[in-house]
Amino acid sequence: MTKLKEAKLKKMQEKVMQESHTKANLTPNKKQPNKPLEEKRSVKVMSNIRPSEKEAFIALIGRESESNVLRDLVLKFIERKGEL
Amino acid sequence: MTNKTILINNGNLGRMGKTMLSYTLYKTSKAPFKYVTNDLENASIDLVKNVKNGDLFHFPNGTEIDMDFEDNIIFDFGGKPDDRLIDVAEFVDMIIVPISYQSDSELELTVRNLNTLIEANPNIVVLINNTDPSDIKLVTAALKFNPAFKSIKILIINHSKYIRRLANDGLTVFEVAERNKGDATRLNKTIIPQFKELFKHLEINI
Repeated sequence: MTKLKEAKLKKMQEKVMQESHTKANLTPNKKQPNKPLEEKRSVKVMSNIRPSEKEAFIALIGRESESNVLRDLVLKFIERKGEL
Repeated sequence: MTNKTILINNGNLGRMGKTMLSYTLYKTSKAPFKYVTNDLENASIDLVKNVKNGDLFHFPNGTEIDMDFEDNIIFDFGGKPDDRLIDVAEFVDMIIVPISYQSDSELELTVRNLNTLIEANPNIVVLINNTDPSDIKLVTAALKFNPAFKSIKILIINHSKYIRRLANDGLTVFEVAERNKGDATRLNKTIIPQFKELFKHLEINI
């Protein structure tokens, strides 16, 4: 192999390695499958309690929202299969 | 005998010899093949005229590939982006990536296409064709320099004026050789043995 060919091969090898981590997008228009929609928190659980009970509850939850605290209680109740 | 499925593609690179190769395989194989293309309009030969009625399937991008998959199938895909390409690459037994090297840009794009195709199916043959003989060794050595391509088989079909007969007259090199003794002598020196080596690698009887 002549010197020029060696130089050309070196250049080509460099290009091959330079592109070694670049992938062609061979399906550019293919839609990615939609992710299944996450279930939203859209259903309410309601209970009427006495004003004093409500006050005591608010005093305990601090800066957390009522909804989040009640949700945690419901989830724990479900996890423990109905046992408080 | 199990059916054989082959994809011939080099991404969106056109004029690499996909249809020349696909049609030569289709026409020369002893076992019948179905011919599936995604692009009839830009094929280098008139496939409607040359492929037997019932063997040719045209599924443009955006349509469902709906056919009997129990047959031997050649998928001549490319020249245009196709959303189903990776699915086809995963399905087939083997992928042939033809490259007609004119400049480093074909080499760079081929490397990118190989990086994508090899993830879908590692059973790949790179076919260097219609390339200046002095560049063939360089392209081979450059591709083999990448350790990820070490397992890829590289085969060669030399540049030949006889290959043009396919686009001009619809004749494969084997048909040209059958028609003329002088042409047969010349073709039997290099071109036909190179095609035979490819067929042997693909386990296709001719």
